[in-house]
Parts: sequence; C-alpha cells; structure tokens
Amino acid sequence: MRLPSINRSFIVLAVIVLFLILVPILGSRSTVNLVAEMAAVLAIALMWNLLAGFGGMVFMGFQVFVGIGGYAVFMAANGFQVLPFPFILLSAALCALTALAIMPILSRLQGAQFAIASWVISEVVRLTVFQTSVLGGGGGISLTAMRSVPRELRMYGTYGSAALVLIVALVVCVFLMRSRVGLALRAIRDNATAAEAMGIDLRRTQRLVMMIAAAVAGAGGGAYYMLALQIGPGTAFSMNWMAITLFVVILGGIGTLEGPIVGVVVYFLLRETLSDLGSVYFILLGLMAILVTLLFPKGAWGGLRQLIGQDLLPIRRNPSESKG
Amino acid sequence: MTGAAVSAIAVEGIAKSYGGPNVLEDVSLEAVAGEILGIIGPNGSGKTTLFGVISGAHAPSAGRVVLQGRDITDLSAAERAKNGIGRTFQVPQTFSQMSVYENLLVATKFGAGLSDDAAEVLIRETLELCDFTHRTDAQAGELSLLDRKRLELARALATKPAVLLLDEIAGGLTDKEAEGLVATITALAARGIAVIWIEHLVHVLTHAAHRLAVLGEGRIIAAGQPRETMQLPKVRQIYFGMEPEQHDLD
Ligand SMILES: Nc1ncnc2c1ncn2[C@@H]1O[C@H](COP(=O)(O)OP(=O)(O)OP(=O)(O)O)[C@@H](O)[C@H]1O
Ligand SMILES: [Mg+2]
Repeated sequence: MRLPSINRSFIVLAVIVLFLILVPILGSRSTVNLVAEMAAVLAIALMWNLLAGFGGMVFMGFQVFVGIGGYAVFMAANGFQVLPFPFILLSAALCALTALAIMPILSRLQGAQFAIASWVISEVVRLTVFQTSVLGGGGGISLTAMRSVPRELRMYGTYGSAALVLIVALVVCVFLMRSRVGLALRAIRDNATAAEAMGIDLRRTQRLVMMIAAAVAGAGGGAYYMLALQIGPGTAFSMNWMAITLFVVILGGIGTLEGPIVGVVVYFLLRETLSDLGSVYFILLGLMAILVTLLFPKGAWGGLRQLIGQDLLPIRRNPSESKG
Repeated sequence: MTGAAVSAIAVEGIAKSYGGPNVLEDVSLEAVAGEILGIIGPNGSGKTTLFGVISGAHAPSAGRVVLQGRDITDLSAAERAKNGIGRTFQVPQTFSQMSVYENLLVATKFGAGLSDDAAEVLIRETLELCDFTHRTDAQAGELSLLDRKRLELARALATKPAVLLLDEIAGGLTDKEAEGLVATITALAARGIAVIWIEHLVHVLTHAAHRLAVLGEGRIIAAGQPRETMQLPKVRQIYFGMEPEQHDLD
C-alpha cells in the first residue's frame, strides 16, 4: 500500500516512539541501558549523516560535539550537585555555539580540506581539555552529582534523556529534510553553482544545519556519558566515535534517513554477540563493512529498500504534497 | 527598442581576468525590459564569462553591474537571483539527483521566493510553457542533454526573472524546434523580461533579437540592429573567418 509520503514518515516515527516507551516497561535493566546507549549513538550518527550524507560536509571531528556535550553535563551537574538530566540542553547550546564559532573557518574549505580541518579542531579541543585541570585534565572526571541519585531514577532518567534526544534527532531529520532548508541542502550538495544561481545562500544554509547537527549530537554525547558516569578527554574526544559513526552510517546507507537506523541495529547486534572475541571482533566488523558496501553500494538499507520497494522516511518532494 | 526606456540590466566598463590576461576588457552593455539582446562571438571570446559577471558567479576586476538602476556589483549570486536575474548554463547544471519537479521547486522557493501554493502554480505554468509536463517525475540526471538544456530554461524561468540570461540553449535543435524556441522567448520578452541571449547559431539570433552585440577577444567590437551588424566587414571577418561552417544569413 502506498500512503502519502509524510503519513508514512509519521507511522514510522510513531512505531519508534512506541518502541522507546515499551522498553523501560517491559525490558530488563540491562536492556534499558543498552537501548539508551543505542539511542545516544543513533542520534549522533543521524546528525553526522545530516551533515555528510545530505549536506556534503564530511565532518571528521564529530567527536568534538560528543565530548563537549558530555563535559557540559558533568561540569554543570557536579558544580550544582543536582540532577544532570536537564543539562543536555546546555550541551546542545554549547555545541551550537561551538559550531557557530568554527563555521567561518570551515565554510572556506571543501572536501578533504574540510574533513581534515574539522578533525584538527577536535584534536585542539581534546588537547585543551587534557591540559585544563578544572576539567579533570587527562584523568577525566566522574559524575559525582549522580551518586546521591536513587538507582531507579538514575536509570530511567538517563534512559529518558537518551530516548528524548533520539526522538528529537529523528523529528529534526524528517522535518528538516522535507522543509525548505532540506531542499536547499540537497540542492547545494547536488550542484553548488546551480544552487547559488537559484537563490540559495550556501553559507547560511550550511551554518544553520551545522548548528542543528552539533546541538543534537552534543545532547547525545551528554546522554551517553550520563550512562557511562565517567568522562575523560581520551575517550570523549576519541576518533573511535568517528569509527562507530562511519560504520553505522555507511553500512546502513549514507544520505538516507533509514540507513543509520538499520546501521545502529547491525552494529549493536554484532557488538553484543561478538565483542567477547577481542580483536577478532574488530576484524569481523571491518569485514562486515567491506562486504556490505561491496554487495550493496547504497548500504544495508539500499538492499532492504529494494525488497520493500519504497522509502519509509521519504524526503523526495512531489507535486501537491510538498508542504512541510 | 527606444533609448528612453529604463535599462533593466547594464554592465559598465567591465574587466575580468581569471588570474592571467583580461578575458573581458571595458565591456559596456545594457538591455531594457522587453528587449532581446543577442550576443555572438568566437569560442573563448568571453561570452559565458560576461554572464558569470552579471549573475554574480564571478567578481569583475573592474566596472559595475546595474540592475534596474541599482548597483549590484557587490551582491552574491544568490542575492542577484532573488532580485531577478535568472540564468541558464552552457554546460547544463541541473540538480541531477532531483526530479524535474524538484529542480523547479528549488527555483520557485528560493529564486522567486514563493510560498508552496504559489510555487505549485508557477511550476505547472512553467512546465506547460516548456512542454515538460510528461516528464515531471523524471530524475534530471537521467534526461538527455537536450532535455537538460530545456530544464535549464524552465528552471531559470521558475525564478521569475526580470533579466534572463540564456547561454547557448538552441544548439542541437531541429529548425522547427528552434522556431518554437524563438517564439517562446519572444513571448517571454513581450511580458517585459529583458533577455540576453548567447548563441552560436547566428540565424536564430537574427530572427529573435532586437539588437546584437559582437564580442571579440573580450571586447565589444560591434553592436546594433542584428542584420546590419552582421554585414559589418569586421564582424564578417572575425566571425566567418574563424567559423566557416556557420549557417549563413537568411
Ligand atoms: N573558470 C575559468 N578559469 C580560467 N579561465 C577561464 C575560465 N572560464 C573561462 N576561461 C577562459 O576565459 C576565456 C573566455 O571564456 P568564455 O567561456 O567566457 O568564452 P565563450 O565566449 O563563452 O566561449 P564559448 O563560445 O566556447 O562558450 C577563454 O580563454 C577561457 O579559456
Ligand atoms: Mg560560452
């Protein structure tokens, strides 16, 4: 059955929200924590996909927002010794400001130069945090504000924060990509010369999307480290975040909204079943990534889409249902 | 066209270099609303570069660009598009991952600044005008070169231009198709659009254009009534000397 494309998106969003509501009701403690982690990782991956897959901005230092988001929650909650959950808003705000600050440098660069510059920026922030004793230096800090929080509240609060960030990430993706901004982003990515000649302000569009992606990824980082209870510059600003993000987005299907969702499921399935294998696990991850990209150049979602025959979260605009 | 009409678009004393010698040198031109100004000139004489300067893709090294009396030399290409300059590209630059409809949607939403409903109406009109209604859903990247050129024209029109810059849109058309194109462009000009039209097919421009300007090595070497201009010895020499296989004048 073919529904108008926006209704299809609503149904898919509703199913995901329902799943996120059912998990804490039906799931075990470890399931709840696992899904919280998945939600945070997926939110981050969706935002990277928004930048790289839809916007052509291959931001290879995306961990900078994860780290800043995490540290923001820790510093604020520890400082006031209050519940950390609301501070993911602070993470979002700080990351949006960071994006605003670095865009004047990045918007002059393209392709590989953009990717390298974004990575360098992330390294600069990591080294700065490393040298800053208020931020715990190289040893990092633990979320002391969480110590007095009852176990149940800690678990559900963290889960709720991560789930909310994911829902925001999904809603942002679906509505942004169907909106005027999404149309501009796709046009720029497709042909920047033509996009400008059609009246699209390249820098403004890219800056806006960059700030949105940074904000949501920062909140995701905040939620993730609330779960970890411990943060340090070596992990929070680690290139590992890029490895996970690339795996999830590219294996799932870059430049689609469904791809990262498929990718995150595959990633966690593999991790939960195979990570006991040690270094063999990483080899398997790599082989899996190579195999899927060889078999399905458009990612795992590209293969699934052929079976289903339609997008589940469509972004293409058609006559007379283009509103949004 | 009478000299009394206000100019829709004017360039004054334009020079342009890509780092080396000047590709354009002291170029001044203007077109009034409703006028079709033809531009011809040998390969590499700077025609496309002139469009780049007018549309804001290239900053000139000297001179000004004036749109309806307002100096727009410092405006970005995007701002110029919003202010009424529409262009096609000699090598089609359609959004290849998008449908024909979406290509026009971009033009109507950003260039023309229309709401969704108004955009819908303009897109439908434009598709009909350019005879594209049967291909609305086709992916632009999968169209033939000829169809992509037509999409270029449709997309430029969908920005609701006051000034329309056409860069070799008639190449590859049959005589009958070229006639249809001339009729379409003439009708557009009659609505008050100022058209500047670059074409290697001289006979198309002598039919359609009210005036003709000839570029040679970055300079305007002649301008005036099309047939008279083509009879000038210096034009015949530069033009037919270099392009012997061109259509003759009718
Ligand atoms: N982006 C560019 N960078 C450097 N040089 C360029 C660039 N674009 C054009 N040129 C040079 O500028 C000169 C004018 O080129 P232009 O494309 O404006 O000519 P044209 O009259 O449109 O030619 P044609 O009839 O072949 O389309 C040529 O010598 C060309 O090689
Ligand atoms: Mg040219």
